[in-house]
Amino acid sequence: MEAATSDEQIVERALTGDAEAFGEIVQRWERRIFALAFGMLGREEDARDATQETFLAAFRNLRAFRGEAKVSSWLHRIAVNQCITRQRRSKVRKESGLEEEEEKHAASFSAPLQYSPALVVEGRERAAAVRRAVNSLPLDLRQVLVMKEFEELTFREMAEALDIPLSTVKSRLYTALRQLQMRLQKYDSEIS
Amino acid sequence: MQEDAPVCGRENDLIAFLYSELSDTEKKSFESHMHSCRFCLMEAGEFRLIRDSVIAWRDESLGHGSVTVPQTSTFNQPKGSALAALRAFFDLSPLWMKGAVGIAAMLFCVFSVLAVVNLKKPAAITTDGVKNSSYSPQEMNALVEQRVQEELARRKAVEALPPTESSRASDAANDKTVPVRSRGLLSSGSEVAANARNGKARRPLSKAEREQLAADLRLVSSGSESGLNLVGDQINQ
Repeated sequence: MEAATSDEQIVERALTGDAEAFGEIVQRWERRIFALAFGMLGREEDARDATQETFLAAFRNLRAFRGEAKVSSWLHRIAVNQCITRQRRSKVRKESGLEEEEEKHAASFSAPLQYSPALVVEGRERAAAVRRAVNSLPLDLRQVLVMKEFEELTFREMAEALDIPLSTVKSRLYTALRQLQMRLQKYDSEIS
Repeated sequence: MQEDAPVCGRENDLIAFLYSELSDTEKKSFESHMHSCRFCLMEAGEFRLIRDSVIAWRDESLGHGSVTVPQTSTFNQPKGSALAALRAFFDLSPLWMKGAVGIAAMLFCVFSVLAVVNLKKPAAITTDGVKNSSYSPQEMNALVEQRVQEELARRKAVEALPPTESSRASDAANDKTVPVRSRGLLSSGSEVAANARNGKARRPLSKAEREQLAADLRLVSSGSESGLNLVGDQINQ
């Protein structure tokens, strides 16, 4: 049985001129990068764009990849940077009033079909509240939360990707959940 | 809950427990700790609710199993089945639209059933006994033969009957083709001439009839006297 090729080996092939090698990296990681971007940005369209930009940036900077870190960690960092850049742009748009319309669009994701319209609306409102609460978390907290809940990485994988100790991953996640809890309690008290 | 709420010091274990990343031994140890630590027990329950909310948001936005959503390309929308799209349409439609679609569907079904029933009935016969549907060559030949026989029988019956008022009427109708100028001048001998034309008078004409006929023909002809004599002679012969 053929041993699975590591990311680092694929990158080496890409560096030696194998045109299809980078495509393999994209296939391996696009789902997780998309999930990360969606969790960070909260909008599917933005997440797609950020994922695309992440792989474009990775391809452009392929020669700068020294192999000191894992490819996955490298891609995660690029993706997080792309998300931060997009969020900055989004703030400008929010100030110009474009955000509200986009929020409405973001809330119109396909709803579970088995529920009544009232429940669907309630679910959407709740989802929008969660999205706002997650987006309002500090970046380092949001990052670990999204990596855990959206990418379903283990603590060890997260620690490697973020290049931080395992205990820091856990404590950040704990803090993220507590802050999220407080924000959602506030939302619940507002609607009740 | 306040942000500065007291903690018991096992937050990392709580998180690892919550995400099922404790070994069996660690898990048992922490579960026994939770029996005595009301704070950890309560927080584990609250964090589960938070996680449920985040997962619900994730699933609603990306579909179940976030990591498996953009399978082949991140840049294409995941496509639902036609049935799912139809369901989504009806779920989001107002009540009146659902009603209208329901009525339309019922009417469609009724008309479909009627159409099927009509198709299953034997082909209707028209009043003259001819089928509406197209004929086979054999049927066509039989029908033609039948009609020919009927027509022949009818003609024989007409010929067998003595001339009646109706036949006279038909003769008179035939005479209508004669120009008005000559019709008004026809005398009783014209009947003889008409019969001669129709071939109904088979017996030889008497002299008086011949003369009368000649006289009639003289009126019709525009030729000279010698010409008239010639015609009369021809008839007499």
